[in-house]
Amino acid sequence: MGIGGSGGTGSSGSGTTAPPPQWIEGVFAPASTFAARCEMPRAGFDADGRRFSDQPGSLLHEKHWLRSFSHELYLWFDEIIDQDPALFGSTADYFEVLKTLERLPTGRPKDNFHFSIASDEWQQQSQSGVRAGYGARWVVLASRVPRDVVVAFSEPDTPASSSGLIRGTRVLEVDGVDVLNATSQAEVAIINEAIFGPAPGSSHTFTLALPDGSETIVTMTAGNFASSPVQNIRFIASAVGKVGYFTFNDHIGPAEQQLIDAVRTLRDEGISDLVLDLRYNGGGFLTIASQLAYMIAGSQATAGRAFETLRFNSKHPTLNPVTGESLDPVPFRSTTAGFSALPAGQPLPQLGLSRLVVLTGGNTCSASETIINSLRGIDLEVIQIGARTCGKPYGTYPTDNCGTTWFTTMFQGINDAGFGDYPDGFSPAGTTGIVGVTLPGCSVSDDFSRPLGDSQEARLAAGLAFLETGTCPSAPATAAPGRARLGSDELPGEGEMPGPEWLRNRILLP
Amino acid sequence: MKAIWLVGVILLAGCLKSAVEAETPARLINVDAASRAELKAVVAAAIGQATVRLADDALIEDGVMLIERTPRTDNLGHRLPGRDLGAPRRFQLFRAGTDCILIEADSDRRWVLEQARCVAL
Repeated sequence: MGIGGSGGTGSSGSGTTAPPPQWIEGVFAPASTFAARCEMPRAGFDADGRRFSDQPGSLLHEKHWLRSFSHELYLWFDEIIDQDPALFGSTADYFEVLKTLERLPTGRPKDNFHFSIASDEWQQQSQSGVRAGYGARWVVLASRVPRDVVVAFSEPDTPASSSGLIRGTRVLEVDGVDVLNATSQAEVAIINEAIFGPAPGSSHTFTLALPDGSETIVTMTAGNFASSPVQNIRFIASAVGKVGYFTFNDHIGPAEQQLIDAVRTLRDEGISDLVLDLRYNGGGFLTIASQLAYMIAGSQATAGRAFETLRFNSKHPTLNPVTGESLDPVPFRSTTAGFSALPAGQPLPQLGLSRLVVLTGGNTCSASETIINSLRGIDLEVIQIGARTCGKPYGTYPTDNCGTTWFTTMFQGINDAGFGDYPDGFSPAGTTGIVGVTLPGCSVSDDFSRPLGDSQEARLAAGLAFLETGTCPSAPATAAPGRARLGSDELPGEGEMPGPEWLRNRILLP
Repeated sequence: MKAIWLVGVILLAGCLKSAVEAETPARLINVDAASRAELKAVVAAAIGQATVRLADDALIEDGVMLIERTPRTDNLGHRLPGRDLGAPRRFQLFRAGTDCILIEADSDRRWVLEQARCVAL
């Protein structure tokens, strides 16, 4: 049985249930010993057309697989308290203890990213950036009474934009239900469904408060609309020269082409600085992040430098344990990847900037943070305006076993300077409460009173001021009314931005 | 014999020419429920799924369509995976004669969309 101890599954003959594995504290059989030994084996084929390899097994086999899998690949495997799988009723219950219980110096849990999902749900695919809805991206500033749901932005050419749902628009009623004050489960369900999960083709009527204080009633029909990840390209004259700006909302496939177009436009315009608005960008493809970082810094600054190096746990110092590839530093990507209509291998345009202003908030996460970290790793000055980022320098290879896909943290991204410790995110100077890695800049609330890309919008205005004077606005930049997230240290105006597949019943609460 | 050879060359050249013309980047027109359903079914089958979410205007604007895993969020609202090491799958529409052909870039697999109408870009 190889390593011995926990195991004893015997041969893997098809159709026979393997004997129950035994737990011996601190002794781990290879995860492969228990892989695909399922209480309910699946028949048929997976998304790649391969026949499921599931064999008859048991819940105990599945839990032993989780135990060994975590021991092999979990980034903090040596902080897991080894417990007998038989003492736990379900794989989900057991998975919950297969992680570190340590906390960060700020008191936050060290591992916030332990998660699982049904594999058939995880495998679902969509056209890039397509969401069911009206084309509006909502921010939930208060999920409980009195609730506050506001439009962060609307995608162009959608019912939301054509109905006038501009940034800062608040929802007062939906289908006759008071969004702010409704208390019954049934009413809240109506609200959640109508705002966050409308069926394509369904129509709902909204009473809205516009940023100017006026009210309007609109009826919108939901559909499947593609988002534009790059928007609001601007050039702003300033005392330090022409400053470029754009919002970058999502690291999805179409972003490759749109980022290239944006950078070409900004380059041709001769900008001397760039304000990159990442406040609503929760991450996605790392390749896109690498390309954008390259286009900002340019070929000279990135030559021979690492965009990022993946660091796994101490058992895997040289080889990626999932792919088998060498853990060499990953260079900045200087060419297209074929994500868009452009063929792969085309050189990317570049700005060659030596500093960058990023606008951030709590929804700035993962790949977006990697842009910041990678550029800091090559000594590009990053100025941060807004609020603390989410703090996710980690990643995983989602792994299926017996119909559940498990997300256990496997690696950390390290920049060219060897830095990747920002589990509390990046914080602009002046941040109070939980403070991450502090960057020069200004703590500024989100400002729903003005459009994104408006030079008077509080965060952009602060960025422009900081470029010109090196200081922050003397008074806190104004933000539309809003309250901090429940139990959060965040600034007013920092809210949750529900994704397209959030569980509808936990967005707004009774 | 020489004449036959020459005719053969001309015919071959013609075939090559039509083959080159056979696949011109295209976009959909006059999309109706049937053609939309067919497109959705073809793409779903291509990616090994029972269904797939496509934009209401898929392939109408530019003829290129990227497919990726539907974004999920964890219990804290963080996007999964926030650091994705993968890549989307790219499909492109071409017109060949009167046929509208969907081609997957990486695999070069192709499907004729029987219900679709398309025009060259």
